[in-house]
Amino acid sequence: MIWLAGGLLAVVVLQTTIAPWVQLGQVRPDLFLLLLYLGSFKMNPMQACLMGCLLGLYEDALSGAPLGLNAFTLSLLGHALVRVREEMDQNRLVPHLVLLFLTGLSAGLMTSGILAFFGMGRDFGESLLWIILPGAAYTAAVGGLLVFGSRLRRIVQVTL
Amino acid sequence: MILRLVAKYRRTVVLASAVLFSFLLLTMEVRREETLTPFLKRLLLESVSPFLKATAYLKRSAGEIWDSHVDLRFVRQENVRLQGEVEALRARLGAVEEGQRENQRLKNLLGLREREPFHVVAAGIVGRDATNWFHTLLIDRGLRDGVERHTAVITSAGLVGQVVEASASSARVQLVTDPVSSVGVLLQGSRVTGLLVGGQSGRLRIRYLPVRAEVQSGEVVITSGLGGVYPKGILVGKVLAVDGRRGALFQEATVEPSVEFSQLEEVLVITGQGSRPVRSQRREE
Repeated sequence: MIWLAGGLLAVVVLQTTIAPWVQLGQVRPDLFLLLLYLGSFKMNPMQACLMGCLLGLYEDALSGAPLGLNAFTLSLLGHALVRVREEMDQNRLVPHLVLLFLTGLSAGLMTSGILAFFGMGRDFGESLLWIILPGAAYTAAVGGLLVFGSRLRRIVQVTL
Repeated sequence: MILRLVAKYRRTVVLASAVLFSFLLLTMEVRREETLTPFLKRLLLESVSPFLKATAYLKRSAGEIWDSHVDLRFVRQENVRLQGEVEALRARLGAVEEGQRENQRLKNLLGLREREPFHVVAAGIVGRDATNWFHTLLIDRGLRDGVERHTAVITSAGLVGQVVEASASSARVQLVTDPVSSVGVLLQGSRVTGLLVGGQSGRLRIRYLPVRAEVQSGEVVITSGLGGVYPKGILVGKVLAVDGRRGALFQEATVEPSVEFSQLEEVLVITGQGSRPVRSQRREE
């Protein structure tokens, strides 16, 4: 619980104050999604779903999004991530990168779909080109670096 | 029996509850039911607001220390350049003062009403939008400081946007580049009005420009005052390119904003004009 509260606070601060510094074009990495991804390694589907809901609520409160938009998306993704992770080879970096990209892509497509459902839809082509694909790629790249960094740290610890 | 079923399908029940709860919140928010969602949003925001304010303060302090004590490489060059600029501006001041007097004289002659000055509240930016889908800012002033929903936000460079949510000590500002933002604008040279809209790509476009209007690149764009949120005459930017397709009913133009949104640190919220606060002006309207 302590790591979740600490992680949530860190992500809130980083996403709203530091992430805009590393913005490329119109996109910055989705740190809420990354926290959910990394958190899902230690959780069962139920816990990951609840964590996704909580993270999503905070993400909604800190953006212009209607409350519930990201809570809906991240709840589903949290549940799905744990299920997929159970089937995945976690020792290799490439599956992590692929899964991170697919998670970002799913989050983007779901957000676009929900916005359209509630009459707040955007131009799909423009959203895909400017937000969904670059956002998923950027989040996957940052997530890959984090996974690689933690693996490297473990190797160094074992070697020493 | 029910409890046993819930225990058996615990995972599914939790997933369904979380999804249903989120969906309900979304529905309430979209239907603008002023009960649970604004309260919950404010609660979530206020719970992290002190940390965001502290981070913004640290960031600002570090920047100030760096600029005034460490990074002094270009101070001498800057000083020489500014001295030259002061001389040039002094020379222009006389002409401007004369023009102002003439303007006042002609206004008196025609009986035109003097435009009342804005009442503004300065606010610091404590956070930016957490998602890539919306273009908003979080500022450290709220209802307590007279900042309300639908008040215009500016800087010395021009228009920034409008307040869309306000809690006691903070408020959310929707930038003019937000995909759902729309502002009534006036082109200063050709005197035609249009609707400035944002987009997912971050570009600003003016829609519904009359097809026969002769809009030029480089023309200055200001707010038209139509719509009731933005006062007339606030600088928005200048026209970059005009897109008049053959057979179209209206022209469109791309606008370069006068404000550099990525470098904003402080903004001014217009809380009223003349001696009246925004709230009483709205009531009169």
